[in-house]
Amino acid sequence: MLKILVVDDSSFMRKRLKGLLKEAGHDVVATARDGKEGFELYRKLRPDLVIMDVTMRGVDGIQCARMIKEEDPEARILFMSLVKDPNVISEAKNLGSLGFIEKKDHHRLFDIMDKEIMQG
Amino acid sequence: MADFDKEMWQDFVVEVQENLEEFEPNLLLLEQQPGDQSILNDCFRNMHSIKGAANYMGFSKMGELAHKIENLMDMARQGEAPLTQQSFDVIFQAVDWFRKFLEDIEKNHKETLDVSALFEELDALKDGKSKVAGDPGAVEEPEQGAAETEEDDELLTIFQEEMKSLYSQLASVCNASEVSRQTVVSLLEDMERVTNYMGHEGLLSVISALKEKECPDSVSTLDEEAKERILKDIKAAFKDEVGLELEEEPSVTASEGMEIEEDKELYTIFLDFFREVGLPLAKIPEDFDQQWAQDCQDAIERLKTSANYMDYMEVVRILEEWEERLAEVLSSTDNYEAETFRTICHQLIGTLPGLPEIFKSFEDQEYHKEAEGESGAEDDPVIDPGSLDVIDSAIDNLIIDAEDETGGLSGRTSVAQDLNETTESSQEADFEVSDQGKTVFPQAQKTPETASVRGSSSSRTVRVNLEKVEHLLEDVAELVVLRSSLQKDKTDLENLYSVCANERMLPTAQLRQLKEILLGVSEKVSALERVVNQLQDGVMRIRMLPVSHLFGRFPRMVRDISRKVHKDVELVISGADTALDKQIMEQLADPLQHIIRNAVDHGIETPEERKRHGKPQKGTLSLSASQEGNFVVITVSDDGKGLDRDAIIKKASSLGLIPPEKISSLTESQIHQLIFAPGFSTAETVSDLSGRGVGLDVVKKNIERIGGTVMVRSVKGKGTTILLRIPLTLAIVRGLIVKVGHQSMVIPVSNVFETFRISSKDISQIEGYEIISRRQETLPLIRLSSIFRGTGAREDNEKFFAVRVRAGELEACLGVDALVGQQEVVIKPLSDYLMDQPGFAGATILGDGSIALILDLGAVVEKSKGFIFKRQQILEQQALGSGVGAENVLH
Repeated sequence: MLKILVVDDSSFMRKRLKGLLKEAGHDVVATARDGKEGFELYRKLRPDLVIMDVTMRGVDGIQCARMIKEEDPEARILFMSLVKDPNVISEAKNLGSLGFIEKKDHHRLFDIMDKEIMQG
Repeated sequence: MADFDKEMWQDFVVEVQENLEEFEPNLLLLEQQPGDQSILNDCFRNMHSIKGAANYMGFSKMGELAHKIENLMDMARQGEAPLTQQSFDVIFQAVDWFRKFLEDIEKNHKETLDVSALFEELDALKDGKSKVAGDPGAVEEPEQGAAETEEDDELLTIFQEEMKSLYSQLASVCNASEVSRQTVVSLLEDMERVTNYMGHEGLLSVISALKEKECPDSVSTLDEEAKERILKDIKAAFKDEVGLELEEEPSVTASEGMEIEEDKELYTIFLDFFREVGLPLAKIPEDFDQQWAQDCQDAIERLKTSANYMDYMEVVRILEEWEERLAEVLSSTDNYEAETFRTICHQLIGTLPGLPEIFKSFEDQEYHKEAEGESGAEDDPVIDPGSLDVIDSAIDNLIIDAEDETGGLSGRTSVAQDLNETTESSQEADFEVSDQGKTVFPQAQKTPETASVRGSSSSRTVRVNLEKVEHLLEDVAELVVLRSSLQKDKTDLENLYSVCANERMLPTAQLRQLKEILLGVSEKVSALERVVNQLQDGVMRIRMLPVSHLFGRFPRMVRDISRKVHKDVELVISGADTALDKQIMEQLADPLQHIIRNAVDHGIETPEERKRHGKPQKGTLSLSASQEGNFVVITVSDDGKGLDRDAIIKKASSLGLIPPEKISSLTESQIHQLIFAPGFSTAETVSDLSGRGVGLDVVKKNIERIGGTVMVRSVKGKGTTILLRIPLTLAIVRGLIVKVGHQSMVIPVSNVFETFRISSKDISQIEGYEIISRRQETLPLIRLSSIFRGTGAREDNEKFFAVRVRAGELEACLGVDALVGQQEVVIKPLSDYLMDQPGFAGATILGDGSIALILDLGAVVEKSKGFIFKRQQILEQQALGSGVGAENVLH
């Protein structure tokens, strides 16, 4: 079981992700709807994994990931977004995130999580 | 959707609606300031969210619709193509389509609407812009062919990339000192496959020839010359056929090639990782070894994830193949052949330029079966089972810290709440924390230059099923009842005490004790009263929403109407955060819409006309809300031409609404009020008047039904203001409690004009109606005991009370047996069979536990309507100066 922070500006996605993760036996310790909140919650809760959207009001996912990484270089961040802009995607990867998945590919979420985190 | 998930659907609807609620007013703002980046960003994000949710739900049309709008927004944002008036029109339409889709799916559980026309329009907008942006290629393509060519282009790109990738692999394989024939053959076969698919015959034959000639079955490794020839020939053939250079890129696929530069650091990290964990892959044993297989699996698993992340798809593919082969031999170890794995290993080495070196270094390393890699991995994301505890204790600390800071219990609760909020802890049922601030219009309308609609205010709201609030309200009502009966008990107790004290029935000591108890009780009763009042007020407020929910729809409406009638109107909204009961808000929507439409349609003049009168060409319509005591006042004010007094009088007299002699005595405001008169709206050419006639009587009726009032103020040439005074809530009314027989009834105080005592000699009769005269007015008397049977009241009382009430246009006196007092009552709806019975708006429970019926005055007073007609005649006779008082006429 992982303690997970979900950062996404869409309440719909947050709820869905939370449901999916819970079903898989994980613990969504918090959800944030923008990067600022996400960063604050990360600092507070130090989750095992952050699932991060990109487009958000104010501090976006990339900025948030950068802030989190500065705070905690070991942070595990997994991007999940519809954004297809290769610049954004490579930026996300450069930040040392675990991966970048499309929202509709949420099943891949578990592949990556399982492989990257659950095992070792 | 076979598995139509109701809950998910509800979430989806909320998501879409919330985004649209933001998007639409933002779009209106954007129309005023098309270049505003922050609004564009917001709009973009709204569509992005809808797209995400729709795709998740599998609603492809909605998703595509959002995607297309998102594209337009993005183009505008990037400055590639600003949004035109036409774009706005289409996007507004699209917003409506989203709503249609929601209805459609609600009904059919899938998307059945045809949006192709809208898609075409959206695409045309996009293409139109690409023309502007200077993309002549796209312009020249004929419509139909365009899509095909696009597809072909895409295929071609894929082909090129794949070829480049394969070629790079081939090149790097060939760089190694020993190159297995099989590796090269398999790469060449891959090339054949993709080339064949694209139909490049020339290239295909070159590759096939090379495969046969340079890689005969007889050899196991290729010599330098053969390798060179292969590389050279393929490169040349590719250039001939495709017209592009095949470069020896040091990466696996072309797309990675572009990234490889900037990813150098990552690439090194990947190689380091490979060096760390890849050892088992280099140590392929001659005979099958269980431990080795497991180590390989582990290594592959981990490498695959990293490679996946690095997007080295070829590496991933090869690793997967290795994995498969391993699985095969694990299930039947007899099939193990070291050669198979060596071939795969060679392929793997060929994928990345750094790998041959690493594998070389592996040669010198001893392979320990105890899977050494495990311990060496630094950034190895193993989950320490203890880490969860760490977090738990961290949270505990957090709570304790907060306690320390705030010094006690309150700290704990606040943090706990905080956590609850942030985690959207929805375990206690359907409490769903919605994070979008519900205020759609914070101050945005006041300062439209800068603000986008959803300000950065991050007000948190909790969305609760209204039913639950209603239950809560009912419980509170019970509490109110209990409080009242407790109060009664207290009074009884006090009385008992006075008796005891006066009669000296108890010894002094006990009397004092009793007095103390009594004091405590009465203290607590009043404390309870205060708390209950607060609670009641609080629950009422939960039902309230900012009127922005109601106002939110109007900017769009004003825009649409004013465009249609070619007027320039600016809608200024203020006080949008004023709270109002949700139910009332729903009732207000139609009347307000009506008033606003009238104002734009008829009140505000055309730009030319305004110019002639020296007014700014742009008309201003202001919509504001504010709270005044237990009422909310909503004003709709325009700076149009105002009401035309003469025209109204003319129309009203022609309709027989006012007797001609009375005209001169009418005040200005009385005349204006005539526009709400029933029947006035039936005037055909309303817009010849000030245009304020359309259905305003209906508006008035609706407002009055929810206990509100309507007023109009107007100055000719300057404008018109309509004021709506609306009670804050429907659920609690301040009621005058009266008795009819043994039955208690509640009359809403807001409708009560006065109460007085009458005796039967004050009553006259006309045409079967009882009437009384009061303050020079003749009013119908309605004895409640005669309307409602079964109250046990005597109908021939000599003396009783009258309550003079006003319901809309109608005034009447209600005859009751006794007046009990005023009290706030919580309205409970009546059960269905009682609802059919006109005259009651609901019921409530009084302090003593008895049930009181709340009168629906509209329906009660309706009964006196026949009288109104008679009174009209009387007034006319009076006015004719017959010199006889009304009473005399009636006798």
